[in-house]
Amino acid sequence: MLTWLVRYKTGKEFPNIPHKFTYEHIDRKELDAFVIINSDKDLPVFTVHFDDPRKKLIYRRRTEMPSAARPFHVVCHIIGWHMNVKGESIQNINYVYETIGRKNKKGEKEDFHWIESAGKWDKDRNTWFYSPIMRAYEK
Amino acid sequence: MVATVIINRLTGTMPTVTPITTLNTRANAADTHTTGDTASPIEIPGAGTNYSYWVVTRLEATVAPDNLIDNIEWFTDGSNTYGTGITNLGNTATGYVQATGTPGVTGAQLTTAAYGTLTGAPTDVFAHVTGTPKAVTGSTSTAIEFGDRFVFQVNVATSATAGTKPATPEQFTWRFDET
Repeated sequence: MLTWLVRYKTGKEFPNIPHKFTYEHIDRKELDAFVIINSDKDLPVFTVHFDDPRKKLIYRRRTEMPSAARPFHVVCHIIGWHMNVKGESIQNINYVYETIGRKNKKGEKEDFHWIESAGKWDKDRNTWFYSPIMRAYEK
Repeated sequence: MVATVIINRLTGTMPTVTPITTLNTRANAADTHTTGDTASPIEIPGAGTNYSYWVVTRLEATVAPDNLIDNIEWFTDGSNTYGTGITNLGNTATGYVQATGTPGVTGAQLTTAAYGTLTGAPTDVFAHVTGTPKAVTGSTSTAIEFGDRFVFQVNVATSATAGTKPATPEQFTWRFDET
């Protein structure tokens, strides 16, 4: 299963701790990197670096519920940034997908991950690429 | 913590809440959830239209999210495979109204008059696809049923033919954002 941690400019890392260190607790001024990690293997899957103070973090865990026909969740971790450059909003949004509870061709449970990287929100390019409802601390 | 979210079907007076997350649920002429009941089919009408009892579905967080769940959407695969003379119309609703009708024959028609908290007249559910889904109002930060319901109803015209329709169940999908 995928989750996230943040690395601050001090080098210290802080993993998501349910209800104690959550997305809204991230100190955005101290943010150096946001990392999607595989919690089962304790390995990084995707890292977004905050190497420009104008970059503002965006993260969502977008879930498509399972059904009788597709009995596993499809989750998309939407991770990226937006910044204002001379009045223009520049965005880099990345989509880290995972399946949860999927079975492979042998009938064994095996989850899958894949990553897509894009610019601005563009649901015409991909139906997952639509904007979340922005929170005050993301603007 | 990642929220645990399930899909419920609401029936009866209270209502009765039945989790259907990875189940089929039958839209027939009865106000109950079943996966394969054949005792209460929708009768093909001699004239006009007969209906399933309306089906009320809603999300529930059984484990709360860290912060918030919002941006809820509902959509289909865009393909009506019921066959000739059968459609499915629906819309979101801010509250619950029990379905009524004549068991084994027809449900009452889903309208804004019959279902007072429906947010608009029912429309073809298959127009709601992944790229143009139905936006569902609501959010939650706690473990609770949340968001508007999605209510739909199968419509059967005189041109329909007998049998279990569709051969492969239609697939309706809920999607949401979480932090």
